[in-house]
Amino acid sequence: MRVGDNFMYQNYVSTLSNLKSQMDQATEEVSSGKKVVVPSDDPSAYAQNLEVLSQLSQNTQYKSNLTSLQTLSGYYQNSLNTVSSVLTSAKQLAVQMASSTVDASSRTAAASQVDDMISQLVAVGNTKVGDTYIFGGTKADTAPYAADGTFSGTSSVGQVAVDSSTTMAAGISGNTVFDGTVNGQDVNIFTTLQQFATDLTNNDTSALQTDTTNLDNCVSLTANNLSYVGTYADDISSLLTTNSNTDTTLNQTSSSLTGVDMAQAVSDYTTLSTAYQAALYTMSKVESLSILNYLPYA
Amino acid sequence: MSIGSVLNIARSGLDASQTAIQTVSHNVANVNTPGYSEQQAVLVEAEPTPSPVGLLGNGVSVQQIKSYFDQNLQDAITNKNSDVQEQQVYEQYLTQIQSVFNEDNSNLSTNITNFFNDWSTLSTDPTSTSDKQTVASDGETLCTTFNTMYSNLTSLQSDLNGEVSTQVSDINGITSQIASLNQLISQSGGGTSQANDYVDQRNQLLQQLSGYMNISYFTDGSTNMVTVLTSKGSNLVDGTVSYQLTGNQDSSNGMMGVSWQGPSGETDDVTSQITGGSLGAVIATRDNTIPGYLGNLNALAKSIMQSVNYFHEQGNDNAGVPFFQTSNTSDYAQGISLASQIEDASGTVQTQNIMASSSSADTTNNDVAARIASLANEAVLGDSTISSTTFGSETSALDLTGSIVVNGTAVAVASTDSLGQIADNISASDAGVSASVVTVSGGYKLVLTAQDGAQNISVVDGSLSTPSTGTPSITQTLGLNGSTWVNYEAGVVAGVGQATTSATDLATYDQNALTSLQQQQSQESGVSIDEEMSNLIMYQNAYQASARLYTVAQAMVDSLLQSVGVTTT
Repeated sequence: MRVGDNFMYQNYVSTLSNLKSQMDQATEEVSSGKKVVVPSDDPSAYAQNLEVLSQLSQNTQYKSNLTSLQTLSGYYQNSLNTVSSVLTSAKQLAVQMASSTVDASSRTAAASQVDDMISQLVAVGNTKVGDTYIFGGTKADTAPYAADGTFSGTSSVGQVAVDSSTTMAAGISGNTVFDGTVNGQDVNIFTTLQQFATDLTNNDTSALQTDTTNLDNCVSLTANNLSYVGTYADDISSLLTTNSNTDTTLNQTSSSLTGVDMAQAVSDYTTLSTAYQAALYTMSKVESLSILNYLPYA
Repeated sequence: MSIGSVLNIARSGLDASQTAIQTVSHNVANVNTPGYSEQQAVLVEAEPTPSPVGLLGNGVSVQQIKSYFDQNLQDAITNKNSDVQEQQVYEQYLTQIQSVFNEDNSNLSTNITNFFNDWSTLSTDPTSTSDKQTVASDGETLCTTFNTMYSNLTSLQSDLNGEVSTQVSDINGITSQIASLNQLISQSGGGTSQANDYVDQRNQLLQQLSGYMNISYFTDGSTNMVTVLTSKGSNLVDGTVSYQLTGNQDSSNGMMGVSWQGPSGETDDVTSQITGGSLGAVIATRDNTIPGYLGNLNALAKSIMQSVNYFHEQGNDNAGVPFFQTSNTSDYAQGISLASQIEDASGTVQTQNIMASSSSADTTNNDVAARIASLANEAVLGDSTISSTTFGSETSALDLTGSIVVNGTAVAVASTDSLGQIADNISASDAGVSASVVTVSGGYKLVLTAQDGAQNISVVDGSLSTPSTGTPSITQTLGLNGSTWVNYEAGVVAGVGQATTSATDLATYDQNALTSLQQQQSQESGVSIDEEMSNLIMYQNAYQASARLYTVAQAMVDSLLQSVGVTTT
């Protein structure tokens, strides 16, 4: 078989440039730690990774949503604890004042104590975090409670996405906290306290008995709401755990889609570099072989 | 027999050896000339002279200079070169298109996700001015991403457009050279050493020409002239005449077409005849590949714009302004920007116009923000969209009220509407979508198909009320066979990657096939220095031997003259 000299040199060049470009690819894999750098490296892995990265970013967003709900739930717990302790004192006062041994002047004095309690609860109802009145429902840019306990917010609250398919209520409306149903009876904390104060002022012993029962219901309502807020906080914690697990899983998926098997990559590189050296060696040996070396100069 | 004939024989030997050595020198000199085929002097015995003792040899003569050359192999190389050049152009431009879509460069997927994440953040604090600023600034980033990708692709398109003129002028240069060579070959009558070189040069030019486009050609047996045609039969070279191609610009879009100029000045648009080769690939990439990807970007931008606007406009008791606008209703990716009501001419963001709440009274409601945020997880884009829930009846009222938003057009749904009626209403609307009801096992489904065949149907729930009868709600059932925006974009990127991979693979494959053919050709036609040097020594020895014949003849003449008393000096 005849081998043309020109073709032989062209062949060397193309062999070397092929090896060089494969080595370049291998070097990039080793140095970047990624086997998929551009879409054509592995189109399907690249596309899947894009979606995984988008899910990761969304997951981080859900985490931030959950964290802000968690902060909020802390405020709700504090507020409801205050409501609960105020109501417990109110109830003790009612039991004390309902006794036949208490005189009218003591009851009048107690009435002003109850008025203070109402003001205290109105202040709780108007708790403001940042620019938001947290008991205002979806109308939270103005104070939801007037001094007499009239509610101007909404009973609905916004919904916040906490994962791709779940939303959670953004807190709890004042209307749920101060107004609700216990044992089948409508209970309004402000109305109950105002009635209690009126009955004290009027020195109405029998009505005070009813007030005691009503205040009991108020305490129960608050206990229910405290338990709701507790569950709410637990849900948030558990969703945060899930969120963190999802984060780990997605990161692992992304890394398995695009990450490089370092041992494999280094071994590939070594193989290629050996082949390259061998090609250079052969070329230098063959090139030095020429018939011209054996011909006398005539 | 005479001494004179010895001298003649010696001369013929010297001539033949000289010719052979000249041929060897020519070979050595052309060892690296592209397309050169090795030549050899073919020696034959000269016509013998009759004599009483039989035919006496008369030395040697050179019959011809033969070129070692396989036309079939050359034709195969010429054809393969079309494929090689074609795939190399695809590889080159797809790699550039790929870098436009590469997430590291474009950040499109990241920016889409960020934008909808911002709405989610806003939903946790609906009155926050800083959250609204972020929504607007990331919205603007998203628009800029679309604008940039669009302009990167169109700038590649105009690079390709410039290539057309350049390559057409290269082709004209080659065809006119082929025509000149045809003339030279025909004049030298073929078979001589000169003609071999011309044929080699012509083959090399044909190979170059086929690199630009698919061609067909044939050689006339008597004149040895080659006729070259485009793959569809327009004449490029006919004998000694070549027909020029010219670029003709389409004034509507600036795209350069290719015209053929006939012998009497007539012109013919042959753009569609140009297939294969680098010019074919340039035209195909410019006219098919890039417009396809631009279409994908437009579909994505349009869908995002219409869906976000639809819900944003529901803000503030349906008095909400659009969030995005486009300056170009056919190229959304080029024209998309923040609406002027969101960002005014001076670049100031009007945060009060960014809606988180549907109600003017409940200012801190977050329903609009949360709804827009959730769009990121909805299947809003697809070729055709089919309801995943099977409905029990095509004709009975579904008791749904509200609307379905198809491609930004709200189609009202009344409580008395049946599935069939809803389909009719969607088809009759100007959403550009055909809706029909198909029968599947267990009932009926709704199918939406784009009327113009464009891959762009966005369907969003226009807040349909929950049906009181418990019929499956259309709300969750539309769009599920489509894809989310990120999913759609990932699909496009995967497509670009796949196309790049196959162009690269094909380029390598075709190059290897060409190399293998060239190797065969090298065995047939290539110049081997080893062989030439051996031949050189062989012919040199023969030359020296022939020269020695002169000496012998001289000695013979001298001794003859001496014996007859003539002295020579």
